[in-house]
Amino acid sequence: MTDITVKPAPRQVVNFFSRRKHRDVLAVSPRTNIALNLLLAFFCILTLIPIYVIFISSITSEASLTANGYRLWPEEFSGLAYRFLFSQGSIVMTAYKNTIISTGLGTILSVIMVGLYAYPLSRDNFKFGSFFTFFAFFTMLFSGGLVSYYMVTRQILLLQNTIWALFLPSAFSPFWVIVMRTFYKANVPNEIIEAARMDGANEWRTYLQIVLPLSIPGLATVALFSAIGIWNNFFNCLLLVDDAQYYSLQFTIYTTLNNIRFLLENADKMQGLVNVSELPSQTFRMAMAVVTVGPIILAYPFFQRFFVKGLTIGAIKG
Amino acid sequence: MLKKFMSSLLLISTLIVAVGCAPAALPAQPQASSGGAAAAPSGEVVTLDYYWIGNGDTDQRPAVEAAVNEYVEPLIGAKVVFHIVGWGDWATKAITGLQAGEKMDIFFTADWQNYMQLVSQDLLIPLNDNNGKYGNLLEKYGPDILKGLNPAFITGTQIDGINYAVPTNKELTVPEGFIYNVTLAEEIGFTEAEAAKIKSLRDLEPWLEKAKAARPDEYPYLTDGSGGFQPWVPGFAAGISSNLISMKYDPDASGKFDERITSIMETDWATEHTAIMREWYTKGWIHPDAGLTTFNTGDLRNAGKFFIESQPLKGSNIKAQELVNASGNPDLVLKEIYSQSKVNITTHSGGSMLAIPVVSEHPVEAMKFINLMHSDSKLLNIMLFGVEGTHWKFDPDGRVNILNSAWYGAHGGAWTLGNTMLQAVSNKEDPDKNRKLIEYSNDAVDHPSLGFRFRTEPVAAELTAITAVADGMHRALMTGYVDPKVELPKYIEALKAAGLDKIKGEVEKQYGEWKTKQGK
Repeated sequence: MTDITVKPAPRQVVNFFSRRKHRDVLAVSPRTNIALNLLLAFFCILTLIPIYVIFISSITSEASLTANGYRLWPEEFSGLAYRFLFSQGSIVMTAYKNTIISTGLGTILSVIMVGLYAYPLSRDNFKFGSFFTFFAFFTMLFSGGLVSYYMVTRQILLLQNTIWALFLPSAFSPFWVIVMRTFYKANVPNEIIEAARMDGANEWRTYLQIVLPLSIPGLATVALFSAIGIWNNFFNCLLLVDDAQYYSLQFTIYTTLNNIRFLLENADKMQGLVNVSELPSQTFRMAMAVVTVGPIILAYPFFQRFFVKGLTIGAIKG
Repeated sequence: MLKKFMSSLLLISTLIVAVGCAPAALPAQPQASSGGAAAAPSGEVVTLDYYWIGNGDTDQRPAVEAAVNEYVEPLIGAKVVFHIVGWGDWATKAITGLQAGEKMDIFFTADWQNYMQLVSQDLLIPLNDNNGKYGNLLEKYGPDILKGLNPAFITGTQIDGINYAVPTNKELTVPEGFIYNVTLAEEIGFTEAEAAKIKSLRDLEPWLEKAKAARPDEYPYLTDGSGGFQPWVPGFAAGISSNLISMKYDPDASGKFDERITSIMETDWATEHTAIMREWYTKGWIHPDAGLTTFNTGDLRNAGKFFIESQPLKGSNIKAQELVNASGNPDLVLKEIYSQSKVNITTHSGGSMLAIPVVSEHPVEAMKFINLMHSDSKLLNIMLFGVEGTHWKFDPDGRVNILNSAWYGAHGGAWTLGNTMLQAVSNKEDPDKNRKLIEYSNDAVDHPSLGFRFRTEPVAAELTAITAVADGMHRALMTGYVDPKVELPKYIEALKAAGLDKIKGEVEKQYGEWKTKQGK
């Protein structure tokens, strides 16, 4: 937001009557500037309020939440939900560990696989380029469906009940391969690869020392999105894991909410077999939501510096 | 030099992938090795994969499995591995696994979890089919199952005369009724004698008025649109999200049942019921959000902020006590009022069952295990509460003091386990609870439709369409959220446009065919 505000004109040398003349031609008038900033700040607050309400509800006492509903400032605070969440025997800590490990490993693996698959496709002299592009692209359009996915991952790859199940199936993404291919083509000119070759570099050296540094912004994008993708992925865990030791964080929250939804919707069919009031309380669910936001929120600022860098540095000079 | 370095890098990355596969391959090994050890002298010890519905897995599971296996292995020569799958994930995970041919030996199923669909896809072994691949498993290896069960359970879960799953021996008759908040009832003078006089919704009105006057900021009639003197068989034609096509639940004075298949929303009853709900809603007796799917009656009930709520009951104030225990609110006191007679119907008989999937390689051991669950208290208590001494201990009065609820809270609960009569109860419950639950059904009568299950395939498209209509309007009408004078005719019209009459015709046809087959 600060980018659109313009450096204030040197007021001290400007007299009242000539102020308009000295302003930057492209600058918005101060009044518009204030109005725009207020408007944008308003939208910012709109997006932040739900997160704030979730957080505040998670530290409200259950009784006052039931009595008063959601409030911006609760009558009575309570850390009970968090204490319960991290108590002995709770699977949240294990799930947290699993999610962090799988996000870390999965991101690295994903960047390696996507980066290495896309690079040859971007080179004009790779003979099977169009075949391998199609090979990856085809899976974006058609898939074998749930049952075959289940059979391949569980019965052939034997991924059930391992930490690998949380990130290996989604490590390779054809979409990012296509994006990276285009990125290499646009940002790594053929001339520079030819120059490296002339200087005696082999393919690996060309890639690692010449191409890779130029592709940091692209790979950072892949890393950011795959990190968020793996962090938020509950489906692999849902399908492949039934051992609590390997539950991921998102799966834990997903399954809790999904159980509640199912039991509420089917209460009449189940004829009171399960007492719905036994389900985790509101504050507990909110605390879980807060916890899952966790460190992944830091991923954006971390990766942002690569994007800015990428826009400013060119490849060929002269 | 660099080439060497690169090739070693390649080697390392291959290694990483290879190592990645190594732990992945591990879980398969115990099965293989147990199969290998099977050939060992003492005879075969097989591993049964038991799929169980519940809240989700827990890290306490290995300890419980060890305790169960130590006990059952000498008895039936089998070990068991539990796979606890969440309520909401069951259809995605367990049923997908079943369809994909995952190794499974014991499989939880129920009418509210696609029992009929699994049978028509031939995924479950017929258990008492004399001409089947495995013969009559139920009679041969499950003698204790048949001894303990009310015969209505067996007939109620049969499809064309064959049982594809073993029902749990639990409460069978679950008539509708009400629970009321005793604290508020005492304030307004609603005694048990008065409660016994409640025979219709109109009888409730003076009391709702007093309750509203006593606590003006509360909504005395707690409802989500279900229950409350609805005289219809619940879940009659399964497949529609709401109860739209059904027959009368209660017998008439002479004990005869009305077997006409009825489109509920078109009856006079619906007109009157929705009008009363609207009246109550406008008077502020029903919560303004009750018509929304996000509204959960549990929160207000737990807080004791209501007067009366419709609930399925099971006799002896047991439901009320369960709800009090579940609420975690020490000040809550609830009592029950009954509004229906005791009738055995299909959905109640098939509320909790255990099946043996066709992929199972050990159906005999699986049946022996299920038989143990119908005859062995010790096994049931380990499965229900966990390891004795670690997770629970017996109180002097024979009830169970739960020390660590991680296991108890993970699985589906007592009613998913074999024979509830043989289970201990926790020290928060009536010591005689399980016996009372079973005995409550002893004098119940069978509904003529007991055992009838609607096959949805012929009208699948209409069912999807009608479910979409019902999801949008049904609850709003049944909670007075909208004006029935305007909306009820519109709703009926939309249902008809979506194919209500065709579905009704199909239900009638299938019911007729089923009746002929029964020879009744």
